[in-house]
Amino acid sequence: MREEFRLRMALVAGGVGLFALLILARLFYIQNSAEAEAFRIQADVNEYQITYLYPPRGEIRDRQGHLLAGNELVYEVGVALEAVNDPKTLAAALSGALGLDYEQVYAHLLHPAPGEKYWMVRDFVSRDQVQTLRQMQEQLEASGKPLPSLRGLVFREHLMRSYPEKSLASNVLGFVNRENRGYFGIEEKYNDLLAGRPIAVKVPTNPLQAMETPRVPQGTSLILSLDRTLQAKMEALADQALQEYGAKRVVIVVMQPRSGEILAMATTLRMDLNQFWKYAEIYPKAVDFNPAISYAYEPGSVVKIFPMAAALEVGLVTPDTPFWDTGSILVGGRYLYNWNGAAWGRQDMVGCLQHSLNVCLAWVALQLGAPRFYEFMDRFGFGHPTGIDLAAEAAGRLKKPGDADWYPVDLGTNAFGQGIAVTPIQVLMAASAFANEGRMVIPHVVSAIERDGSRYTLPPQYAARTISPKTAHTLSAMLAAALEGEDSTAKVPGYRLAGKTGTAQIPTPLGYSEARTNASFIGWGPLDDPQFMIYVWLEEPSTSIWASETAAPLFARAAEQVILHLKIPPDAVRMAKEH
Amino acid sequence: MSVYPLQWLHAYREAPWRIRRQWLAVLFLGLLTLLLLGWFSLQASLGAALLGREIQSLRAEASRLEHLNADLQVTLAAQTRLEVMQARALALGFHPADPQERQYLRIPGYLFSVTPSPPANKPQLVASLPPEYTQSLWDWMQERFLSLMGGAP
Repeated sequence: MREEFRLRMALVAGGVGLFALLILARLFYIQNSAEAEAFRIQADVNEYQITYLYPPRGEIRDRQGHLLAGNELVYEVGVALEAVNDPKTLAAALSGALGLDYEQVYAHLLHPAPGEKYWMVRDFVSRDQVQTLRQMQEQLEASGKPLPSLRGLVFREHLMRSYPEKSLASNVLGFVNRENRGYFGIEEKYNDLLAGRPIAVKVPTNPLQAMETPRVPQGTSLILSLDRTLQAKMEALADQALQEYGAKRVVIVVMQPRSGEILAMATTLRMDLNQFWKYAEIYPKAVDFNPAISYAYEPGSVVKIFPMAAALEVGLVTPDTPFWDTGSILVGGRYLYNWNGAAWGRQDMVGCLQHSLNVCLAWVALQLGAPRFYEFMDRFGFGHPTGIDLAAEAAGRLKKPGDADWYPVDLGTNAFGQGIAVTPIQVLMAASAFANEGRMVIPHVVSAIERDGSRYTLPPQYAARTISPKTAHTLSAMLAAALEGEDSTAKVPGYRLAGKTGTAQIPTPLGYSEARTNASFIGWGPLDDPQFMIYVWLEEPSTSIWASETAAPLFARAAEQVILHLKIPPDAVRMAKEH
Repeated sequence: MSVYPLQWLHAYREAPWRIRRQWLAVLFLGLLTLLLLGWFSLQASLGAALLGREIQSLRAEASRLEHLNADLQVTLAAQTRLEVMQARALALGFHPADPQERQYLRIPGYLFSVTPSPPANKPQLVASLPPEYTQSLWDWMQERFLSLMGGAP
């Protein structure tokens, strides 16, 4: 009996042992089978999830802290196709809330592409639209009935660039497309800083392995030197002037000449930055987006102040130097004439600027000689970009002796702003030397940057000293005297300002047009302590071709607004002695 | 003393059923210990898993709140945009200042400056984490010790 029991036990033990061996053999086979590698890869893939963390794009604020560019919450609406149990209701809800074609949505839900598990129905859907869909989904779920149902509907939130002030300062800000890339203005120039750096993180799917994901700091925020209120006022003035003078384009730029901070940069062609896709409809050419920095044109007589400053600097002339104007001057084999073709007789240098005499300035350029004239024009920055922190700045054109298209007559014409192409910002930078003790300041729009709770305020950047403080004061006084000496429409009662008009005929393939002009004005003040510098440009004004009748009064209105906004007391109050 | 009781005692001690029971008790004790260890291990794993899930959901919530915060800032900016504020000011009876309306007072000793105010600070959110999330075990022990000694925690 005992022997029999032993045998039976041995058989059972042997059977169990064999079964265990078979299991082990099977395990060994599975581990080394052809499919094992695929399973191992699948396990590795599923062990972690690669998540890309995109930092929110940095904000842009004006100097008072008003938000000019921020980030708005939008949603990607999609469908997890395997979870859908009521395609009819889902198609009806999606087509109703998102304005899609019901038949197309229903067909896609019924017959998805082979292997398709997720269908991205629409991206950048607003919060309100998603709210409607969410409410419907929750109500149907709360009813407790299996049908109707919106199962499978998925919402993924993300941020989208938003501009709460819409078109205000659009030419300065630029815009961001759906791929988070900046175009034009601040958005393009500082794209890398604003966008931050996305990080790829391996997130374990096993909660036991949950680890701390790196914190992605928000992109750097920028504080601009722009003043929202002043910008709006200048834009309103530009729009008004466009209508009043029948111009094709108006540009007004307000700069602090001491620091180079741009307080306002208004153009008449603007766009609602939230609808960036309309860019091509609004702007015929890229230079039209911000002509204040991108559009180089012949400015005319505003340039006269620079050769005059050069002549004062080298001691060729003083404000009292006499000049007998015969109405014409021969330069490089060609006669050059005054704007009205008349001879103005005896003048001094103040008179030359006051009456904007081409002949006189051509004579000054001849006295300087081409090497010195072009050296000074080069030092004033003409032909070079100013370095303003906005994308798409043009360098303009200053032809020089040795260039294939330079002729000796250019020395004379360049002195009164013909044959030279400049941008408004270049003239402002060059003229900043007069309001800034002879030093040119580099114009800029960003005044501070913020990152991780720290702020760095950007100091003013100065270019080379082009003229001495004495020359700067002398020329400013000459321009102020010139302005006061005539019945100028650029004057602002109570304030002594310096300024110069510029009327330039527009070059065409057939020569200079008599009827089409660019009217410009550069001015600054108060003379004793310059706090603002304004450049005004009207392209092809139709009510009058003269800057004295268009750009000058527009400058006066702009200066009045700036004075009011900056709360600058009149000279009489400011300079009154204390008793 | 009779030898019988001693023999019975010996027989009782050496009884096979008693030895088997002792072995069974030891076996159950071992099993119980293993069960206890398993239970503790499961509890710890469960706790860690729950915390892991909580961390993941809190992280998602933090991200969602950051997005919502950015969105609310835009909403606020849209409601206080210049055009809207100007319309509200006009509705309240204000009108844009006219150069003729301004008046200046001279105050002795006041230095005039027209430099626009420096860029304003935007409101900063101050995040404060309780010490449980920041202090080390050593910091905690030090704090407890100091508080027990009556010192500043």
